[in-house]
Amino acid sequence: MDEIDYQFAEDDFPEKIVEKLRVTFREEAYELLAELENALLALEENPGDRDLVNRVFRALHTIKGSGGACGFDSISRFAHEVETFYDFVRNGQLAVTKQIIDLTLMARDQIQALFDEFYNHRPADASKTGRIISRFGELMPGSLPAGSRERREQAAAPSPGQATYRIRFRPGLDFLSYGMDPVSFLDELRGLGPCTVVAQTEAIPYLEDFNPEHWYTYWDAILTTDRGRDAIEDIFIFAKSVCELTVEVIDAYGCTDCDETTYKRLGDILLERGDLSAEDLQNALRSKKRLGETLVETGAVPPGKVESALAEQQHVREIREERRMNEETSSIRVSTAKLDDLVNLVGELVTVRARLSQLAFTQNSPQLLSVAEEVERLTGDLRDKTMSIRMLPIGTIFGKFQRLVRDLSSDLGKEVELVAEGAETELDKTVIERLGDPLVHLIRNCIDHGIEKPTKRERTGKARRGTVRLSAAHSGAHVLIRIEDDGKGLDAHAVRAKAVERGLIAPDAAMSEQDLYALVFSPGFSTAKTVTGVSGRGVGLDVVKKAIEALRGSIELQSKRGEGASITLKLPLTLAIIDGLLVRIGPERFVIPLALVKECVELSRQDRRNGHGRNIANVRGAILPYVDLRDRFGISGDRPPIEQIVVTEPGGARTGLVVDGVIGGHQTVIKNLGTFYRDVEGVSGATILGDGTVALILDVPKLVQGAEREEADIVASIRDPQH
Amino acid sequence: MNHQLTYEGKRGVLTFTGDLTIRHAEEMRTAFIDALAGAEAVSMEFVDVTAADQSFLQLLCSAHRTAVRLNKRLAFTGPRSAPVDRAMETAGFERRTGCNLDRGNSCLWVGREGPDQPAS
Repeated sequence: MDEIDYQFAEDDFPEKIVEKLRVTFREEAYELLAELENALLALEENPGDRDLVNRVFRALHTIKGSGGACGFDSISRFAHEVETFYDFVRNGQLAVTKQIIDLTLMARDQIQALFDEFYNHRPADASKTGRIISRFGELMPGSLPAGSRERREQAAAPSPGQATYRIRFRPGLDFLSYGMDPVSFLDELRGLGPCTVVAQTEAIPYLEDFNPEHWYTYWDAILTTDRGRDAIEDIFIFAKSVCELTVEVIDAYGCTDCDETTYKRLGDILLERGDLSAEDLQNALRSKKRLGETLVETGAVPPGKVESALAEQQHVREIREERRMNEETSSIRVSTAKLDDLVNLVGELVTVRARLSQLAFTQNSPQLLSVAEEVERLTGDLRDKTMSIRMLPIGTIFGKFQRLVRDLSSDLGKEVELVAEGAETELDKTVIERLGDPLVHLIRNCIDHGIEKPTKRERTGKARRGTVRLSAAHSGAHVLIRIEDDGKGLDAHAVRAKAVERGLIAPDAAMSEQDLYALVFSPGFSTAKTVTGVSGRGVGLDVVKKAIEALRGSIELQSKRGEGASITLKLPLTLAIIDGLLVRIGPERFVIPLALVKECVELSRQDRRNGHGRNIANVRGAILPYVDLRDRFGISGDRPPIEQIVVTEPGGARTGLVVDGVIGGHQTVIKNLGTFYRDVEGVSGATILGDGTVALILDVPKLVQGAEREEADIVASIRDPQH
Repeated sequence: MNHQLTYEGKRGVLTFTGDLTIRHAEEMRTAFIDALAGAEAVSMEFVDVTAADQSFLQLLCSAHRTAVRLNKRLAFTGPRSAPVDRAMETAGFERRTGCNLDRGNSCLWVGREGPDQPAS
């Protein structure tokens, strides 16, 4: 947003316009706050990095300007105070310390609270602002007289944005006798921004007249900076009386009458500078040669000046090119509601396309077939591209975890470093949003229960600082997200004891370590001896598991005692479309998620009899339990002599699903079942097939669980008739 | 003394060492005058230069245009010297073409690829 250099009062402006501005500003505001936080956290690790200080400064500056333009007066003033403070840091008068970072993060949080007050109607404590400001005041360098603070505030008012200046700096002959080094001024100019400098040497005399104590060289410099003309002239303040200085703006961002792709031509530049008369320019243009060459040959302009003008052209071209590239890579905001509508429409289109293809096939018309093929291709492309619009890099949520880890480690007295990998891995937007809370809880768990206190770590030979590694990567049609820590790992015995205590397993049950760890996700399970404010109440992990499964994902825990633990989340790339295996039972059709399918084997009547009344089959020597779907769903009709077992592997255990036959692979858009059917176990959605019939999508894990439960009940009732 | 003048036939070699700044500018000016008087072509070499400033660069420029006027050659030879290069860069002396006093494209400040070799 453009800078506006005065602050509106609410009633200066038609309310509607301010309202609209604020709504538009909302996303940007929170993004700025996120950027500010990231920059501060990075600055804490690299206190000497000037780029990071500039990032902090720019974020504050933009919050101040754009916030002010939207009528957020108190926020804008607050940001201004903090920005003024950071000017000292930028000038090197203040070093970055943990105290300063803490205070600035506090200020950032307060700005967020003030925004929340408006956008989310959460009341904020306005008096906190004043307290934070006075703490900044205490940290200011030395005793700054009130007068100079005011002057600084005035100077900090509007900056005109980035502009390019043409500067001619001509030190007088006796410049050196004043004890000043002309070249140091050039360095100071370079400190303001990208600067091209060309020395003009035509005044240097021959050796016999050369006086080493005189200064003969002058310079043409092209400088691009956002510090404004004042900053440039300030550099030469003490030299003003012994040199000639001209400063002109030749290019400014947003100047409407300049063609962004080309800059002035050489002749125009020289004319502007007064190095060439209009008449000479006309004469030179008549020649067929390039202007620069002609001018030099005829002696109309000294080569040094041509050189300098060419440098100006080059400099400005480069700056404009860079600006253009930055603009081209910018993005456009779209409301998620619009995007969802688009995705729905595409989904419908995909369904109808399937029907078209089927019709074309049955009609047996080659023309229709070829049209249908083309529609299929285009719809496929459209679907892929629309899906990819919804994909965001997971780094968007990784960012907020840095802050979490920092604050948590501080609170719990531990030293923890968060390492994030694969931030560019893309996932569906909805999946990312719903991942936020579960991931936060998992990371909290790592730091609270996993990573030990620094002294304890040292005693066991580990580094003081624990590491939590967050990584994301694509794997086939899924995304794998792993949270690893190098803490103390799980204690299998403690887990077992707790599980027995809670009646989850029998005391003598034989459980592998893997199975024990899986128990940790049961409701109410927690082996923490003390309940901290952060975790330990035992409500966390099962909720996390539910959340991940609601995303059609899976969660797995692995651990090595003393070395650490890792949790792996496996999530589908998109929730809206499913790759499935279409199967039939009687007249009904079902879709089994292809990701879970391992293979298909035949089940003959004889194979069934070999199971001796149990639903098990022998597949290549291994026992495979199966779920008879016909029975389960109560589908009437006769079984075919040979049925198919679709072998699936939900959660690592192979289970078969018995169907009449397998039709083939099928990719469709998932339709949610209505509210009435949401709790039907074993079905997670529905899809419309090409011929218009509805196929239910099977929720394999739930189906298998349900079947296992029934089996367990049957077994228990056999053991204990009273059960 | 931070310079040394030797002759190889009609060719003069000016070797510069140490501190090439305004402090010694006057001496070096005389050295250039002498060199150009006694030779048809003068090569300049830098050996163990510790510092160079813009006064020196100005002097080089002056020497070169004087040489051109006398129809003599003045050029750099030997390895480049970091302080001199740095001074050239900071003071913006590099150019693409020589100034209007340049004849034969012998400007000292053109091109950063390598020193000009004097014709033998």
